[in-house]
Amino acid sequence: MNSRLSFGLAAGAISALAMLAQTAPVTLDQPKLSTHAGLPAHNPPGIPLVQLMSQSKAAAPSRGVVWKGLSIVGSDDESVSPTAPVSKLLLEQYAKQACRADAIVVGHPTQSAFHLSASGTGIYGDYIFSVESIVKDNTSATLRQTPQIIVTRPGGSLTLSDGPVTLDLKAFPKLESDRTYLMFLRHLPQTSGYSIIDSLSTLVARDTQWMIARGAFLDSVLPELLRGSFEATITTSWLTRCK
Amino acid sequence: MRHNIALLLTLSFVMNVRADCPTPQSPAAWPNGLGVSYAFPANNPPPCWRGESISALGLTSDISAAFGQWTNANQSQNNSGVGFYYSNSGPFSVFVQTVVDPIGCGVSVAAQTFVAIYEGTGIVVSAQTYFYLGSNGGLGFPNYDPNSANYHAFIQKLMVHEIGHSMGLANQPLGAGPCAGQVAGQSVMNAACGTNDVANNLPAAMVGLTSCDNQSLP
Repeated sequence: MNSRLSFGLAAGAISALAMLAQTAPVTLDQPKLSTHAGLPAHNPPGIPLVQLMSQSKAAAPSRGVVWKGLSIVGSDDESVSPTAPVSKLLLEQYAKQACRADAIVVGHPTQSAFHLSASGTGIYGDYIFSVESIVKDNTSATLRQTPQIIVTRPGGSLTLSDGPVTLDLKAFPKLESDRTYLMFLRHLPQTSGYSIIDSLSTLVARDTQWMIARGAFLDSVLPELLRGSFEATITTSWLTRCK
Repeated sequence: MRHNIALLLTLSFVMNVRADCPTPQSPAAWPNGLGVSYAFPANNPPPCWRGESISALGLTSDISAAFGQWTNANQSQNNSGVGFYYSNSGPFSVFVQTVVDPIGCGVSVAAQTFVAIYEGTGIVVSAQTYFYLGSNGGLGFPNYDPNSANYHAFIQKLMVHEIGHSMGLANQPLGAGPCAGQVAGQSVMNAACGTNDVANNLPAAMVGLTSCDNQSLP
């Protein structure tokens, strides 16, 4: 009896500790987050930014430019289909993403920190993302008791030795703190953070509509992406059909 | 009644077509009159990609022809005066690589151009174009088929499009309908439509720039 009681107390304590760990404030200065620097999506092929900055700064006087830093814009050139409308294919992709995602959440970023990627060719941002609602919960680490998560994604701004540099990726626009987003996320167990699945994984709220955040589709209004209705489609239709 | 049907058909066409003429502009370009050298530097990308040799793949003439197309247009069809010439090094670098892990890399585009702009100006200082061979489009089909007859023409058309990003042109918007409702051949900034742009949505190779594109250039 006593051992049963002890076991029960121990289990309760562990459970409470786990709850505490989950609700502990999320910060962007955790050493384990440096793992995000090595994520493949954060390391585009290319010339290391330090080298690019140095070359550009050296060439500035010959162009009559007062050096204030560099802005690098990455294009977003999506191919389209000759047989099917873009909207149909996009919805097919979102149905697949719903199944592939470890979690799908709605919320907004509250803080961000930008870093150089491991290869030095990219910049990425870690964001504290305040979760307002959960469309799909993470079965391996529930988000029910987690008001904030870390989301990491390519692109951002920082200052290197030669000055400020911005990597403006049209496929992965920077998250804005005054916007609401719906994101299809992949869990990163080694950091307890999340990354987006791909460039289609971020939707941004515009009035009653979800808009695809990536540059190529920013002006595409899909009636199926109506706020509320889209989330319902995910939960009551797509997630029930995942294989 | 017949008038109403015609009106409806016209309206439907207008709503489905997203073709801007003049072509949309982006906020930065090479300075007018500049000679820009382009190069194919050695390529040692991080994991996810395997660096390829442009000459070993037989793509040198396709890519060079695209630069030639722009130079010809800039000297005779618009006022930009920007000329491109091949060199061992240059501010415009072109890389070709094969995607080893499409899901891990998160790449869904056939090609991409990074344009470096002096902060606070509209002046392009350098550009890098990457071809992602073996990639699948975000809408679910392969971007390339190297065994098809139209493969080399596609590489050239795609390079013409990518150079456009450094010349101050932006992508044509995507609308509803097949080929995103764009007018085939109207702009080099159209999207590729299907594997190897099988629908010829991009203007044919060696046609030069279209009038919609030339009107938008500085």
